[in-house]
Amino acid sequence: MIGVIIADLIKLRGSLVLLVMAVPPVMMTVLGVLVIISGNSAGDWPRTALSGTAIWAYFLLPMTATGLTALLAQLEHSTGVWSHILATGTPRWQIFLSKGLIAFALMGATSLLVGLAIFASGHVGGILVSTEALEGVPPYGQVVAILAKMWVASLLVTAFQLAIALRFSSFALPVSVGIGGTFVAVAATSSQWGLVFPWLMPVNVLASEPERALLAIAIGGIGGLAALAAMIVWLSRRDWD
Amino acid sequence: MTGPAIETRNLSRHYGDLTAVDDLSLRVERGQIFGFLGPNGAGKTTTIRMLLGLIRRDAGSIRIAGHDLSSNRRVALARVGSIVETPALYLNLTGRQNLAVTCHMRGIGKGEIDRVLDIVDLAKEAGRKAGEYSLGMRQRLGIARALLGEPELLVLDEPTNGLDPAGIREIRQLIADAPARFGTTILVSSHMLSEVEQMASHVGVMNQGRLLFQGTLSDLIRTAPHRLEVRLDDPARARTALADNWPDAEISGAGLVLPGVNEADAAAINRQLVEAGIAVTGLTIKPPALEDIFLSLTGETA
Repeated sequence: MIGVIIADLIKLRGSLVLLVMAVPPVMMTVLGVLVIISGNSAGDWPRTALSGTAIWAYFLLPMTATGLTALLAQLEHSTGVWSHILATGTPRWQIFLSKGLIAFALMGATSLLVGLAIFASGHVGGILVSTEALEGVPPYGQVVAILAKMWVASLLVTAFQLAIALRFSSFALPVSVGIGGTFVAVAATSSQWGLVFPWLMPVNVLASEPERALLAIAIGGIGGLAALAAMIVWLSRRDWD
Repeated sequence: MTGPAIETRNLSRHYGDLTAVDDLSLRVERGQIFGFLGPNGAGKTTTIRMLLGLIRRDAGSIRIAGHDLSSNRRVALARVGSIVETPALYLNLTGRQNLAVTCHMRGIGKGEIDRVLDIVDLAKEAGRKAGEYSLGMRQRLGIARALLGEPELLVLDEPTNGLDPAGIREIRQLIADAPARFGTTILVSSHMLSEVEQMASHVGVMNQGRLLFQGTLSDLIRTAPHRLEVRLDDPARARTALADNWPDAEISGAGLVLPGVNEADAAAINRQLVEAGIAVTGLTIKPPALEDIFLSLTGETA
């Protein structure tokens, strides 16, 4: 199993996957700095940092999950490498489990980079325009905790996107589903369905009601692992023409 | 390895109403270069995909090196190298990294990489990205990857597709030498008889999902109907004399050509001509061209 994971990590070299990982933190940094130097920030560290996590949860996180999983799958689809790796005799469950673990890990690493970007933008903004420097103490622990919860809550949507991306060789299909899900999530925020809509799980982590946040983490996390298990069974049993 | 390299029994696969592979019983012995022949759409690739466990079969069984593919897939495929249709590579990786991926997946030591790169003469280009390779280089890298871990069986699906003549010759030579150099059994599919003829010791001919023949090339020629060329002094009269028993006889220059005859037929024809008072100056039984046999088996026209 370790060998399969190492093989998957080697495949990332020189691929667009790493570029997609870099986009959210760069965007968060640029956006954060612009907001602060234009005088439109909340003015203090806790609220500004929290709004950064909200942008991540609402828009950038689901789009990153979409892009990362689609590109991960395209590494195999684009040149038809499936017929090679599935004929090596390596147990199929290991091949697909490795893909899931890599996708989860990349989302975790991107979350970490986004956290760094949130704080970097606060500091850089304050240095560029000292009159707009954020007040108070940077809430490092709080932001890391929120991002970690969002990551757990995002496992469901990540597993779902990965399953579609691996199953269908089209790049457009999983990307369309991801974009669609992200935009439907905006409309579903206040509805009852919003409690269980996969794309909204990370957003629900920010809910003022603790029960809703906990439910999002539970559904997203446990649902993500269940979806990964279902994906492994589904993909392992199908034909690869 | 125990048992034949490949043994299938009554293998079948359907796609809706289409029967892609029909009751296929194939046997490839160790050390053979087995040419798997058939026109496009004959069912070769479907068979190969079933042999490699990529698609399921609807009926029948598959044993690779004595191991049942259903119950022992991992062991059965552990010593099999393959290329299916195209040399599928990670174009963002170098040649060496592509091989490293397979080494990690199969638990093969990285020392193997240099060995196989040398075999396909790609050692100098191994640091370049596969995306920069020519088609021939990609095909060679694909073969190098298939050779990792010293496989006992190589399954190559149309390995010369899209290559220029020099590339075809290179790959063909590599395949032809493999059993002697590495003790590998090879199943190589192709729709080109001329190609298989130069590499294979044994052939299987498929068409419309059915295996029409399997055996050695000489068996294939021996079992196919030969033609008799008769040199004589009056072809027109000879043709009339033979018309009842040999209506297919055709005048060719100063003689007759009779298709589909064997040695016993030749003696009877000679006797009949002599009894009719026609002087026979020569009789030659000629084997059919392999291409004609192939076309006649597969029901295609030249």
